[in-house]
Amino acid sequence: MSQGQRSVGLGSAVSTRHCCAGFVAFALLCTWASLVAAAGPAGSPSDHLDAPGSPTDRYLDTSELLAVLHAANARFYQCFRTHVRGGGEPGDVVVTFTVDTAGKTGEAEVEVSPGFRPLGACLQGVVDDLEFGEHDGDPMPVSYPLVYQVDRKGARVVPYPTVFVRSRTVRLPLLTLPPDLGLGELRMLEQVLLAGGESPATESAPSAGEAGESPSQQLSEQP
Amino acid sequence: MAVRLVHQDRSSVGLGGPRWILRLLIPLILGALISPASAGPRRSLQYLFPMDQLESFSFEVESVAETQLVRKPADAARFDLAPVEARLLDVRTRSQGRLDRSLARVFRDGSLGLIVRVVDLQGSVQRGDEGAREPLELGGLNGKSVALRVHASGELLDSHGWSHILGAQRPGSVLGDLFLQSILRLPRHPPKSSSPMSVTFRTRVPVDGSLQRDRTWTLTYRRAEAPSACGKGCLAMAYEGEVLERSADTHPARPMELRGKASVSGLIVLRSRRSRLVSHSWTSQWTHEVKTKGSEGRVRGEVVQVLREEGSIRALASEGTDRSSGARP
Repeated sequence: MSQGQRSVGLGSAVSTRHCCAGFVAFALLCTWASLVAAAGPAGSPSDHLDAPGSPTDRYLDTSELLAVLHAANARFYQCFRTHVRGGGEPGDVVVTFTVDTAGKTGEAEVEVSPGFRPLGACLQGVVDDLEFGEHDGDPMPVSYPLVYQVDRKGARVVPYPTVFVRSRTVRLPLLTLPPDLGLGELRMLEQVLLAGGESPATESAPSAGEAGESPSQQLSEQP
Repeated sequence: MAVRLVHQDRSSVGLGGPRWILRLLIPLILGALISPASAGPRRSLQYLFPMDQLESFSFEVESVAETQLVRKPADAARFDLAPVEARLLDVRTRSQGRLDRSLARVFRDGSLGLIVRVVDLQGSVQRGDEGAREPLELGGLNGKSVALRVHASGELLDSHGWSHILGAQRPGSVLGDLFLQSILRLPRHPPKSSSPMSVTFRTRVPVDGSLQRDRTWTLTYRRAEAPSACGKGCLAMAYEGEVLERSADTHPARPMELRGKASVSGLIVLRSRRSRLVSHSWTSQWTHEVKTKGSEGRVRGEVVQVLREEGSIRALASEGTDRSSGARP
């Protein structure tokens, strides 16, 4: 092999390497771009439409409820400090209330031992003053346990890590059902279409040739 | 071969450094050029959304839902299903009210967060041609909203709030596709009367954590004649096309699959090329095949629904600073 051929071979190798580097860089760029695209518009939690505090967050969630309840912990504590003294225990204390669309509380109730009615009234006053964010959902029923420790000076309220809400599950969302369908009718449909009792299905396919025969007639003919 | 030799020799002597950079840069530049963000010329057709003001639309939606349970498990015989099936056979609902839309947030990429709310609702239901039309109680739906994140084209990037509206025992079904049709993706440029323009896009409706309804829309836009009442400067576009849906509900209590196909058509009227929505009327005819599954994943039941919908939204009045959905604050 001549000198010229050798240098050409080397140049070719170097060139190929550079070319490969370019394509590797391009491939990396494409991979990065596809990963960014896969992350979607909601890549950052603050970019979620329902990020708490975001103006597009129009429905309450438990984290927003907890933030308000934990912020009121000092006032709950003040009630215990005032009304729980001398070794008595008010039992399991739970406050329940609803949050309306304006963020105001209503239907507040305090579950407390009968001997601690002043404590119950004090806690109810705190709950009545709570203010949550405005929301577009149905009035939300909330239940929140007040966990406390009693000592000589009174009681210390421990922020409870969760709040209980009665959420309505979405039922049969893939079917378009009339709004006036009764609860009993809906339960029957769910039972028929989804119930766990597995059994062989029978089929009655509708056909254009069966004009004039209503589906209910077809179905009534099934064994 | 000679040419190649000369070429290689030059590349290996002196010009090696800059060429290496060039070779690295050219794919990058090409990649940037073919990326969707910069593909083609700047769009000339986009919505404008008024800032600091509500946009209000009156709406009407009329729909007919024909439901057939074409496959049932044998143990369904112990239920008296006939009355329920009769009530689902031919259900005609009508709803009207007001749609309030406000621009709530501008995202870092220039896309917009809109709140779309339905208020002042009235509705009625009729079963069959000759059934009596009865008023529907829609109070639970009044004031409910959906948050939509959209691009300049109206392309839906994200949405939230569907779980408060959709599903049985909620009256959201009377609204049909109202929320989606309030934001319809626009072609990049107004179509010419001689040449229709095809647009394909996808929408995803995250109903809840277990169900996302994915649709693929293939629409052809044509220039149409603007209504005379709209005056000079209005742009009217008619569209027609097909929508496909494939959705699977992974919720353990309601395992279902849906295959749907629809033919849709409509007319969009904008104030001008870069202006507000004046009106949008649409019709659609869907066929949904829903298969429900039992405990072992076997098909348990099958429901076929034919859904015909006619709807329209018309701008009422809005004042405020216009904001293009493609611009930054």
